[in-house]
Amino acid sequence: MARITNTPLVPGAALTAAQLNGKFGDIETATTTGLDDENVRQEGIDYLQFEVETSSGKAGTILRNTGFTNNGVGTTGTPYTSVDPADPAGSALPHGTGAVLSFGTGGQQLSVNDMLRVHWHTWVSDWTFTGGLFTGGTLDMPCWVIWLEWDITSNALANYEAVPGQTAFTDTAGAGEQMGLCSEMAATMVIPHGYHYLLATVVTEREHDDLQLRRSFNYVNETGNAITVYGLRLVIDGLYHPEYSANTGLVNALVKPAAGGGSWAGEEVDIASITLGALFQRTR
Amino acid sequence: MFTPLHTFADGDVLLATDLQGEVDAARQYIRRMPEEAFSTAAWVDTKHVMRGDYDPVSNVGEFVSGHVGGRVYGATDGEVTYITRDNTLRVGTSVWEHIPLTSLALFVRRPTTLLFQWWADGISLTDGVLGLGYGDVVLYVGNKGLPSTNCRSRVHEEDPAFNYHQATRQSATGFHIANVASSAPYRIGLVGQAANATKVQFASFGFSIEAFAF
Repeated sequence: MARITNTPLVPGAALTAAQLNGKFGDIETATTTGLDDENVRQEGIDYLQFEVETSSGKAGTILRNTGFTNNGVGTTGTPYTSVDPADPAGSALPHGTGAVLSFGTGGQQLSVNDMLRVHWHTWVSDWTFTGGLFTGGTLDMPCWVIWLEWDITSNALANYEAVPGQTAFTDTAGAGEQMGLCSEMAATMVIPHGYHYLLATVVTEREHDDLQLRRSFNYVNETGNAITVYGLRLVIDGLYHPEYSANTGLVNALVKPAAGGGSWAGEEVDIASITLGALFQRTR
Repeated sequence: MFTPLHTFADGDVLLATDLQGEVDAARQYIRRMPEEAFSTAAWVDTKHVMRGDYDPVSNVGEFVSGHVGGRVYGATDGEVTYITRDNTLRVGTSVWEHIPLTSLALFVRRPTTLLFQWWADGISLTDGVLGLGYGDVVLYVGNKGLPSTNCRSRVHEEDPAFNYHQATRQSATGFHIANVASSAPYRIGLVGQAANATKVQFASFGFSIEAFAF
């Protein structure tokens, strides 16, 4: 409503009670949930006009909801063993409460134009390292991958899938190989399995000491439909190596070797702790 | 909604006080429009909301929802910080100490959800004694003497046999999301402890804060 519709009095005509009552009744009508954007100027709303929550900033005007979990500052790692190509790839990181966020029975709605921001941080504490993975001349670089999945089906949390823009590492490269395209790694964390360097003219390989790694993922829902997010989780898989070849379709990818002679199964990485957090925000 | 004070009836004497009273009442109502006067259908758009201010000196932006700000040390101002300094012999493994320049006390004016992010690039030169050590860093929240339950980060003492720091990363990083209801100061920052390393220093580090109130 742009203005209060008010029936004007006619000069020279007799004034009736109904006309007079109507003048003020029109104001009553207009101010009964009638005022809107046409009555409020640009930048006419400041923080005093916003509804707040009593214990958080999740009032829904900008921030709809958050999730945050971690499994402590522990230094004892949980081991993960590399496996040959399989479908689905990877295994969920358990880590107690550290690597899974659940949003309850009803989930958390990601409305059209809403933004999901996810952060995670992990401390990789140890590796079980087999020499010879770095094949010297080819300078191969094995690595683990951790990626983000969500369940947008139900609160049973039985239908996790890679988030938008993220590969599930089940594409086919060479015979018996699996891969994920680098162009589809919007929510991938790469953990090197070791490193090699030149020391006194000798190429030397060794494992890292502890590594702390952090990654974030941002997604705006432009699908035209609301999405209900019931859960977020992290998945780990290994070992992969970077490759650009005819097998990858002449694009950059991370490839897992096939089972058999060139297999990288049986390697191990230990992850001591994880922190996972998410924010659901409006953008409009 | 505005409620007229008086209902006029045919045959009444029209009194100036009645008429003036209605006009005054309408004027008073319009001055302080309550929420029930507005449509409940969504109509607020970004153009209706006050723009925020950004202060480049303090690197803090203040918006309707809250504050967005941060600070980077080391790269341009030469300020560094540390878990231990040379020759302190502070090598105990059980004492968490504040890391200078990393602590904040936030005075929240209304219930807030806070996203705090930090990073630090560490150096721990070999000290030639006690074997190879390390320094651990953890975020603390509230109780400034104890770490929170977030992931820790570790900076290793350089191994002279490998020129360690040029071969591996020594970055520490983390984040925290918290709901803050109280108006009392909310403290957040970094604590560290060293084990067998007499010097653990951060040559560059930074943090950022986003505060949501709506």
